[in-house]
Amino acid sequence: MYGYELVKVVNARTNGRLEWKEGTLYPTLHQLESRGLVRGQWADAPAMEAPGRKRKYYSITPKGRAELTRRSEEWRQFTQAVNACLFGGAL
Amino acid sequence: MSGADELIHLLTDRLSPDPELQRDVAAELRAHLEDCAAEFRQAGQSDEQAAASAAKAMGDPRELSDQLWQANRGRMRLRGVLRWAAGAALLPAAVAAVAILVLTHGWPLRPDLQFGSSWAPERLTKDQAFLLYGDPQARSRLEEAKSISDRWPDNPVYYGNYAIHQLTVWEGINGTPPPHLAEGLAMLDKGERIDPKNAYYNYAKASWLIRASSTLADDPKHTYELRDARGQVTTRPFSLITIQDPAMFRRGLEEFRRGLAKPFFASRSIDMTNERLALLPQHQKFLDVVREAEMTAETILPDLQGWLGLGKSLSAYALARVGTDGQEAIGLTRSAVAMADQMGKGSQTLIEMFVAVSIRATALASERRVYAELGRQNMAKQAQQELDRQQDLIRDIRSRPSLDRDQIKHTGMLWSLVTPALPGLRANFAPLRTAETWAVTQFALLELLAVLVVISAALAVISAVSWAINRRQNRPMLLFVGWRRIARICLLSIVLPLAVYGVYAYAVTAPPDAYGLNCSAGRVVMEFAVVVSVVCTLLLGLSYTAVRKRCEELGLEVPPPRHLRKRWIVVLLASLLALAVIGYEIYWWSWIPTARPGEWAGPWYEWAGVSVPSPTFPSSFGVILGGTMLVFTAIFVIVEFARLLRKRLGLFRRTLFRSLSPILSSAVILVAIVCGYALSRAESSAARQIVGDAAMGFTNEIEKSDYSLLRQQFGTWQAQDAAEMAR
Repeated sequence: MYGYELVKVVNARTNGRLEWKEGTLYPTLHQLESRGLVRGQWADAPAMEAPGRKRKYYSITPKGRAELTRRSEEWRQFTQAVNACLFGGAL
Repeated sequence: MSGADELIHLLTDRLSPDPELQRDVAAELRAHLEDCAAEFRQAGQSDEQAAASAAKAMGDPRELSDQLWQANRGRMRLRGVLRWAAGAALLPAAVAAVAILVLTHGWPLRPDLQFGSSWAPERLTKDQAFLLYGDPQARSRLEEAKSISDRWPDNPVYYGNYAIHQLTVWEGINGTPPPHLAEGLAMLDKGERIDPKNAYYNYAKASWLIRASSTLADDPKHTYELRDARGQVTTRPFSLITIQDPAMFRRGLEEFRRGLAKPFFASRSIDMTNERLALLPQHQKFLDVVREAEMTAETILPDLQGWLGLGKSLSAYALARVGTDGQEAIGLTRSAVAMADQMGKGSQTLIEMFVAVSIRATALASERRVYAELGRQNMAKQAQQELDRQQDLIRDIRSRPSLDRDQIKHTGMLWSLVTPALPGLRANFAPLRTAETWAVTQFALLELLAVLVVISAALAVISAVSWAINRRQNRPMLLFVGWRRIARICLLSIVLPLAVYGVYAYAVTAPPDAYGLNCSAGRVVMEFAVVVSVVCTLLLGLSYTAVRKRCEELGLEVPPPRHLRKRWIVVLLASLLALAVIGYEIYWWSWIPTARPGEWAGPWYEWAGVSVPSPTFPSSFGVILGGTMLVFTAIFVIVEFARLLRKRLGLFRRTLFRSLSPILSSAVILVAIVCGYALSRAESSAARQIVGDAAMGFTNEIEKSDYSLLRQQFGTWQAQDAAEMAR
């Protein structure tokens, strides 16, 4: 997935509810890349979309996948705790 | 500069210390802006509006610039260190790797063979080193021999070795009186005191005294016939002797008779060489064998011309005395035969033994004539029969099977040059041949690495100059093509071709009946050239492709890709060369079993100073084909790089050159470590087996061949002489 595609996917999944500047995506991706959590690779864009152009595609690394699992679990536990606190287990 | 370019420049300006990263981020942001603007255009905005909207969607430029710098500064620092290390350390490390190979294995580049052999002085004890090399202050072989004798003054071998060195200097021209007679006799007297049972000193004194007191000339009236080892009859003249100093001549005869009474005869120089060889540790390298052969070849033999002269003088004097004292004449010829027997039994080299054979033949012919002149025809006939038996024995030994042309093909370069075709030779050629092949392969590897290091260094120098004279934006970048790409380049261009050739080389080198370099050198040189061409072409080609791809990602102008169909001339020529190589391989393997020595070995024997009459085309063709392959590769590479000389490709060219240098250096280090180690192990493994029948040289050629029978016969004759003298 390339940077602009990521922006589109996030906007689509959140129905635009996350207000963010598109440029801030790149420092985040570069940090993840520096830490070895994602890997960026240049490749030709599909000829139908952008003929003759190259894009940098990011993919998650095994280390990134492990980190994602850990962070997801953290987030799940955090949301459970907050829900329990706010709604007393009603949710 | 467009608005988008200005924005990108603003966002990435703080990344400028790492031009590659700056270009990478800029290219990524540009792609984003183009995608975003395209979507705004689709929504109905004009080009200007779409560009402005895309820029706005990116957010605050200053804030984003700072975030990009924060996100990448750690990476920039690490890449800076790696870039510095690649630029500063890889090339010196590659040079060091090649230098280590040169110092340990690159003997053809070094005239000093002692260096790099596994028995360099520092690996020996002090006494061993002294015995091998003499006093470090010694300036000549003579001083070296003297220093060893001075250190162990009672050792007969060391003194004998010194005496032979010194007498060689003092003995003067054969046939004239020795110029240093008194000094020579004093030296021989001392030798007799140190080595009292050795007849050598007495015979040497006799030779010097008789030479100084008489002259020899061919007798024009009397000749004798001798059937040589090939069965051909040759006519030889007897000698006439003129005595100028009878008293000195008698002293010479007395020394001769004293020598006859001694139990053995030994010229000590071969003993010295054998003692030195025994000190040496097990062979570890082919170089050790070469050094050993060199040491053996440096052995100074005793005055063989003097021995021959003594034998002739004794025979001539016997013939001169036959008219006045027949009994003395008979005794003299018999004694000359006995001296020859003693010398023959004590001979340690073939040349010494053949000198003894010649003295014996002259003495027996003289004995026959003495008896004939005394009218004792039966005894004359017996002397002739004894001479015939000697010649028959030599002829019989020489007629035994020796190295035939098929065996010689498997001996290897060194053996084929130093090993005479001795009858009944008992030898195992495989270890030396294998060690030699691996040593030469190491040399070829070294040549390949040296070429790559030179190219890498040249590219580094060009890049340094280019970096210095160009302004910031145009300076060449050292690209991170990625470890995976470098690993792939090394695997495909170096590891794979060398592994394939290694398996092939092992398959044709390992069998017991493998062909030696003496007949396969032409083919092997061609194969080395093919491997070097393939490795260089693939290495430079794949590296070029990787750098080009990376430059393209960074938005640099790169040369268009060239497909094979556009290089049909190159493909055609390469295919023709490949076909020629395959054809030559097929031809060589079918031709070599029936080839005659001169056909395969011509250039190599001629190089060694041995002339051969036969044509040498098949062997030379391999070298010519290999040379053509290398020239073709060099021209191809030069032409390909010449395409980059266009001005618009300047930054790409400079970046390519700067990035190629570390890639080539990495490849050199990898190959030097892996292949250098593997070849060194293979060579050592073979070299350690060079013992017993696999070790052969000047000092043991009699024992290793059927000429040992002749020496045994000399022993029998000497025993008969001793019994006769006792009667």
